[in-house]
This record gives sequence, C-alpha cells and structure tokens, in this order.
Amino acid sequence: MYRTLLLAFIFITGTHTPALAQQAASLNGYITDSETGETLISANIGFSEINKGTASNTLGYYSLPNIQPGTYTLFCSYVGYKPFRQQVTLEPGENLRLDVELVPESVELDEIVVRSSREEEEQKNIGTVQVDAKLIQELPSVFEADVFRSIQLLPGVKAASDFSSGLYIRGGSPDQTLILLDRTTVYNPSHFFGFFSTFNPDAIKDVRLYKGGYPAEYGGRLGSVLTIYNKDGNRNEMDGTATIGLLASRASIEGPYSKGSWMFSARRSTLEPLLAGLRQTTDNVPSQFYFYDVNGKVNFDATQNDKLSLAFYAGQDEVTFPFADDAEFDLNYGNQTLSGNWTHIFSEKLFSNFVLTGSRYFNFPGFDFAGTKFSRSNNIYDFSLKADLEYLPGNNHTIETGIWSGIFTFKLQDTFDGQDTFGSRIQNQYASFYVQDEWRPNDQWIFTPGVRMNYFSDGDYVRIEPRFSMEYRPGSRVRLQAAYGRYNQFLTLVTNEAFSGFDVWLTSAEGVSPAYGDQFVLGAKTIPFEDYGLDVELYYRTMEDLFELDPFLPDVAGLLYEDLFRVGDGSAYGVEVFFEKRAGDFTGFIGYTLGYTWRRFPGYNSEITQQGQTARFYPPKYDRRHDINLVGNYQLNERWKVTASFNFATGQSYTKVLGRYVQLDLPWTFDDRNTFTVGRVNASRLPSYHRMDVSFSRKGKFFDLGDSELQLQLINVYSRRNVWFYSFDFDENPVERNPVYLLPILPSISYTVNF
Amino acid sequence: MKHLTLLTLFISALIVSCNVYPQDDYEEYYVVESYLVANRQLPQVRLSSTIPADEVYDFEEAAINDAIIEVRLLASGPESAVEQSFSYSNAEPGIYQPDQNHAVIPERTYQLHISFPGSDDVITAHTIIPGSFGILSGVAESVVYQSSEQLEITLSESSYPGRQNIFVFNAISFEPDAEDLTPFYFDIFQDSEDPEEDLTLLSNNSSGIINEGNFEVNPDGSVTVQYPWIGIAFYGLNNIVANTLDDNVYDFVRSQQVQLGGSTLSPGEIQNVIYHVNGGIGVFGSLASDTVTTNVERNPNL
Repeated sequence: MYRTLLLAFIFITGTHTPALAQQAASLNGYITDSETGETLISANIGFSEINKGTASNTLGYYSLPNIQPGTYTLFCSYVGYKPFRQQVTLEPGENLRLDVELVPESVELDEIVVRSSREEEEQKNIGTVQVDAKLIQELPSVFEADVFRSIQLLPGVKAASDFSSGLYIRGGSPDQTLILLDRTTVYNPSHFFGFFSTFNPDAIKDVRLYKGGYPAEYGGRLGSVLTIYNKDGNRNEMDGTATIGLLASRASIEGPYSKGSWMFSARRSTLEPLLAGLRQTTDNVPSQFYFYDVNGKVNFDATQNDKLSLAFYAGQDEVTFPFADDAEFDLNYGNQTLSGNWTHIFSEKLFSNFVLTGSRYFNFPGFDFAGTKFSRSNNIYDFSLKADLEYLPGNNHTIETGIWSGIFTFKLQDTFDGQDTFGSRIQNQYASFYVQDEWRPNDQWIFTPGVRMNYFSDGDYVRIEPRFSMEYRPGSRVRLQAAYGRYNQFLTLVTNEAFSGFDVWLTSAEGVSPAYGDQFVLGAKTIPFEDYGLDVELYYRTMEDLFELDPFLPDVAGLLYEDLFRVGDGSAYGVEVFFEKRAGDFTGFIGYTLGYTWRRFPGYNSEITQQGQTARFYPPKYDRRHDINLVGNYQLNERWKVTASFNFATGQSYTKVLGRYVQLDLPWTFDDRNTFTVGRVNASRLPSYHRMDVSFSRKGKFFDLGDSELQLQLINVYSRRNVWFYSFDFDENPVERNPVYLLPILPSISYTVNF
Repeated sequence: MKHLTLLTLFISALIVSCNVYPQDDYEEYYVVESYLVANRQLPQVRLSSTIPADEVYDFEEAAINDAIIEVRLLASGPESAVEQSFSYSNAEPGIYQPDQNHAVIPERTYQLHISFPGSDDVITAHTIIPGSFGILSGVAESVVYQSSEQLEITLSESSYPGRQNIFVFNAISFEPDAEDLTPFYFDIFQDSEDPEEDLTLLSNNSSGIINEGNFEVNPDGSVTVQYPWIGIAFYGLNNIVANTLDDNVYDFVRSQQVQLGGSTLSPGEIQNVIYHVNGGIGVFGSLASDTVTTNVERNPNL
C-alpha cells in the first residue's frame, strides 16, 4: 500500500530523483536529551559545510536524505542544550542511523555557549512559538505553575481576567484554539472553573503554540493550535519530583524498563484544611471542593524503527456548596483522554505515525432549591484515528500528508423538577485529509503549499482549505515570512469568561453552517545580536458565519436547533513584536501587541431607535489596544534565581451606561425593572491594567536524598487594584457604580524535592 | 528614506491614536409601559422619559403629562385599518387611564398611538394578544409543601402566532407574613438588608420565562404543569397565576435581564433592551392569564 502512496507523492511533487542520487547517502535518527532520553521536538540539525539542515519532528525524529558522500561536520542545537558537533563520514549509498543526544546546559552552568545563527534559525516558523517547559515552572503564578498563564504572557495572547486561564489569541475566543495533549483533543482544559489549566507542569515536555496561519497538518479551529506533549519518561534512570504548594501538591515519577520508559504524575488540590477552618467561622463555605489530575505514559521501543506508546490523562473538579437552608449547588466536571501511538520508520525517506485517540469531557451541574432540582448531564466523546506520513523524495522537498477521522458524540440532558426539559444526542462523523510540501528550491527560499479537506457529517459539509507559507532568507540573521490559510470550525463553545465549569460544546448542523475565516500573516525573524532574537509579525484575519448560542434565550426548550444560535462575523488585525535574550545569566523577553478585534451580530449593537435594521461592529471585552509583557529571569548565584514578569495593557472595553428608567407595572411581580439605555456596546475602556509578579527560588538539598527548590512568589507586588468590570447598586438613587476588582497582592510558597 | 520613515511613523501614530469607535453621549427617549391582558379591561399607560444614568430617578419627575394617547383595535393585523379607538386621559403624573370600558380581545392586534400637542413626535407600537386559556378544574385545593404530591395544574390549549407559548408563573400569597415563609426563602429573608421590601417582593413570587417545550402536551392540546416547590414562598393560601406572553413582553424581559449579567456575555458588556416601539422605547405588550387558589400546608418532616 505504501508503495502506491510513494508513487502518488512522486507524482504530486513532480520530483524526479536524479541519477546522481543513487550514489547519495542519508542520515537519520532521533534527537534526545542525554540525561533523560526524552525526544526533543524541533531540534535543529544539519551539516555546516553544505548548509543543509532540518528540524526534528514532533516525535524527535530527523532525516537528511540525498547527501553527497563525504566527510562533514554535523551540528545539532536546541534551546537549553549545549550545541552538538561531530564529524560524520558518509559512504556512497550509505543510510546512516545516528541518534543524537544533547547535553542540557544546566549540567555545566559556567560554560559559555556559542551558537552560529544557522544553528539558531530553525527554531521559529511563522506564527509559531515554543514555550519552555522549565520557564512555566519558574514564572510567578497564582498559587500554582500554569501552562496557560505562561502562554498569556506571549504577544498576541490575552487573558480575559486574572481569574481566567482562557486563551484569547489574535482576536479569537478560547474555542477558536485547538488544544491537543499528546495529539488528543482536550475540550475543557481548566481546573477551578477556569482559574487554572489542567496540564500538570511536571509532566510536560513540550508546549508549542501556532498563533495563526497554522499549517495544513492541523484543522478544525478558526484561530490557532496549541500542542502539548507529555514526557515519555526517563530512559536512563528512575527519578521523580514532589512539590508541596499552597493550593495543590503534585508528584511525578518516571523511569526506564527493558523495552522503553514510563512516566506517571499526579496533582491534587489541598484546600480541605483551609475549608474546614473557614467553616468554623464563616457561612457559605463549600462542603466539598477539590480537583485532581493524573497523567501517565508508557513507551515501548519494539524495534529500532518501531516505537509504541500509550498515554492517558484524567482530571476532575468537584464542588458541593450548600449556600442557603434547603439549597445546594454541586458540580462535577472534567476530562479524560487516552491515546495509543505507533511510530514506524519505513525507510530513511518515509516516516509515519499512527494514533488512536479517545477524549471525553463531562460536566454534571446540579441545583437543589427548596426541593426543586435542576440537573444537567453533559458528555462529549471523541474517538479518532490519525495517520501522518512524512516523505522526503529528494533534496528539496518534504511532503507531509495524513488523515484524521473520528466520531464526535454529544449528549446533553437537562432535567428540571424531575422532568426532562431539553435533550440532545448528536453523533457526527468527521474526516480530514491534508497534504503539504515544504519545498526549498535554494538556501534562501522555502515554499510550503498545502491543502486540507474537511468533512462533517451533520449537514454533509465538505470544506477545502488552501494553506500557503513562504520564507525568504536574505541573510543569515534575517528570515522574512508570509502565510495564508483558510480555516473552518464546526464547533462552538457555550461558556462564560467568569466560570468555565458549565461549558457546553455545540456543533454546526443542517441549517447551521460551520464558521470559516481567512488568515494573512507577515513576519520577520531576526537575530540582531548573538543570543538575542527580534521578531515582528503582522496579522489580519476574518471570521464569517460565527455561530454562537443566542445570549438572549432564557430557555431553549422546544426550540429548533438552528434557533439556538446567532450568526455573525468579525475580524482581527494587529502587530506583534517579540524581543528576547535567550542565553546567559539573564534571560527574558519583551512582547508588545497592538491589536484590534471586532465582532458583529444581527440586531446587536444597533441604534436604539433602529433595532433590527442595523448592526455595528463592536470590540469584545477582551480586546486590548496595547499589551506589553516583560519577563526577566536572573541567576543571582548557584543557588538563587529571581524571575519577574510585568504586564501593562490598555483597559478592556466595557459598555458605559448612559440613561435609565424603571418599568413599574410588570403584571407577575412587584419587582421594578431598572433598565439602562446605552450607546455603542463596549465603546468605553476600563482603567489601564498593570501588574508585576516576582518569584525567588533557592536550590538546596533535601537530607541528601535529592535536590530541592524553595519558591517564594509575590503576585501583584504593588497591589494594583485592576478593575474587572463595574456592578450597579440599584438600592442607591442615583444608581451607584462599583468597580469589581481583580486579584490583590498575593503571596505564595512552594517546596519541590527532586529525587 | 528619512521622509519615508517619518511618514511611516506619522501614519502609525495616527492609526494608534485615532479612536475608531467613539463613546456615544446620553440621549433622552420617551418611555412607554402598558400590558394588555386578554379578556380584561384596557390597562393604564405609563409615559415618561429616560434620565441620565447618574441622576436621581423619580418617576413623577420623569413623567410626561401632556400627551394624546389612544389604544386602537386594528381590523386584522399590524398594518390593517383601525376598527375602534379608545382614548386615554392623564390621571396621575405620567399615568393615563382609558376613557371607556373595553375588554381586551384575545388573538387581536392593538395599536398604541401617542402624539404631543405642538410637536411632530409620534410614538406607535403594536401587540398581538395571546390566545386565551384557562386552568382546568381538578387542581388540588391543598398541598403539603415538598410532599410527593406536587401541585399539578392543567392549562387548556392556547396559541401564539409563529411560535410556542411562552409562560411565566407567579404565586401571590394571601397573607405574606415572615413566619409563613418556606425554609429557603426564610433563609434569604433573614440575611436581607431590607426585609420589608423583600417580604413584599416574595409575596408575588414569579418563575421567570418558561417555554411550553418544557411541558408535556396532552392529546387534547392542554398542557400539564407540575408546579415547582421553588415557586412557593409562603405557606397558606396562594393564588397561582399562569401567564402567556406576547413577543413584546417576551423580548423586553429576556433582554432586560441580560443587561446586568447572567448570560454568556462578558461582564460589563451591556446592550440595549429589545424594543418594539417606534419613536420611543419601553414596552407595549400583552398577556393572557388565569388564576387558581390553593393552600400550601407545612410539611411536618421539614
């Protein structure tokens, strides 16, 4: 079968293998961490003399085919690792398997690391940013190291509030970002109703964000893709880590076995003693409130060319809150994922990966008011098969193709007072196919055309998505990039930025067209000085047929599915600047974003006297005109390190109330209805947002059992009272407007032992 | 090159500093409020104006007293001829009462027409009265609070053009004393900063909007409703009222309650209420309703 595929690829590319290639040699293998054996993703590898290189793929595999026989200097580099160089002699026709082990820089701190620009330049593709897993743990964060809150520091990424870990990327709402954990879709990546993301920082190996213009390999979301890979487990020795924190404690352990490696990590909140104490003195304290998550992975290296792995994740939040006599609220929500991965190297030119994934998201909220019960059972099941092939037919082409097919089942059942009030069971089949060719006609140009085809069974939607990116390298320190892509989205998220525990996903269907949009990105990646990087990107994106739950529906029972939605459009554009210092005792970055985001829905934000006839674009609340982030990381000495972050941003948009009146005669109530009149929605700005966080960490020993690290953190160092929104007190006349504030100054402490 | 750089900087500064989405200023609007109920006499009409949000609100201060108000029964729909007109007179500040008796006819269209002496301002609105219905006999005269025998009421078939019925239920207590509050509401009452006002509010306890799709429709088109215990705030005699709403009231209530949050909109994102009034804002809407009385007894097990 794969021979047929090979022929098809050759036909597609029109690449004819030159006669000379019969004498050519090739080099391939895995790039790993020398200490743990973890594969390294997007590590840069190549030959200095002939300026030929590539990057390892998401499984840490690289291949350099069609090399003229001879002796070369092979280099390999990766951020945080010492550069690797080795003389390699390739004989005619030889296919040399060379697995490269990179030594972490932290092993020898004093050594000065020197990289050529060629070795650094592979790290960044357009719209893509890699987040260092170690930085996630070092950054000051509210109670708990958090992947999403670290990502929120990047240009182009905004947070809705201090209370939300949701990712608002380049004008997109959180549902416009596809989140993949070990290639498996995660539908509600949050703990504590959105305060934290679900990903345990101890278990993570690689975090990569495709902010926009993402390649044909991915699809299903209008905006961006976040890929997270958990560790494979240490292949050399067993080790572990345990951390005690104020909010949660976590532990992980990993190690080798005869045929591979394994990893297991767990985290659980530890709020019970605090809640028990509060219950002694305060009313309205939850009787139960916890979250946990577990991650695990087992790798089985069957042969040199076959690797299998099985990974799982399970996380859950549970709260029970008796908030009045004869009234209780409880909520149980979480995610479970399971993926089985098979990596097979057919030849030095053909690499493959097959994944079976299963993902479940559930939430079960329930209210009991005075003997009247409301409950919801919301389940999403997503089972899929992915197959990806990477083929290197010649010197200049890397062809990637694949399929992703699955069954998405959505089951929602609302029950009120013992009676089913709304139920929906939707089962959709989806399938997608993509092919893309990375063509390097010479050392200066890279063209990556691609296309993705999507099918969604409900409504029989078939959508074709052209993708294209190009790169021009006028010099060794400058890369100019451009990308375009069409994207479709068949899902929409019903959520609230203040609380993600009730999240419900709905799908496009007959009568509800999928949303689509185009993205245009221009970028420049430069290395102005050694160990520094300066990146600039401009983006423009459109959003059409945006379907979202009509916010003015108090009750959806008895409505047709298509009547649940309002359908609108939008756009976003902006400029991002990212300046970083990558190596040395002081590292860090400055990120700046100038952004504009617009939305429009029929009848919404229209003139008060011309409702239904006009609809004006408006900025969503999370729109911020200017956003600056500074992150610094300074190694004071061998033991002490200080990390600080500072954010300054234009205040979020809000709607200023202009006029008011009172409706006094509603027949079924004595409650007067205080009503506002407003002008343009979200036309005013809250006061500017700024906050500084600091973290001090001290390395030490834990009774000669292992290394330890004490982390002391201060969030919002100068206790800036940033405003979240304004509430209104109608008991006062005139009505009183009161700011609702975000986080005050908060200290945090954690202690980690590595054994 | 130098000029090009300066020009780029100037254009960039212009783009950044230019407010492409300015804040509007306050504007004053006429506000109307009137609810026609099927088979009942024409209701009063309130007419006032909005005030700036940061000023003291007093209906009498905002009232408009010199308007010429008519409610018109139309022949066959919103654009049809006037079949009958009913004039109104100013009775109190901002409140106009009908000059004639007229029972509102179900499923007919009524128009509100307001003009002002010496002014071209005109306010108009239409409402289609929901079809009338009744609570069928057989409702329990007495129920034990939170017992297994829940209050059950059956409503005769009714309709509204183009959509399912939209209901609001309310329970009006005959003797709203604090000691007769059911446990959940008593707990709220105890924490109240204004207990007198809360007691008044709870004495007319409403359900909020409920779609007909929540209920089982019987073969004869009637609808049976299990009245939820959360709707009962007081032990003792209660009038249980079932209301069906027209589009104007439905749109007003569902959009007004979103103004202060509770929806999927971000906090602080406030939109105008959905209005069906030309030349002003407010609501000129209609309902159909029926009432039954039941006694709610204390449950000795609670």
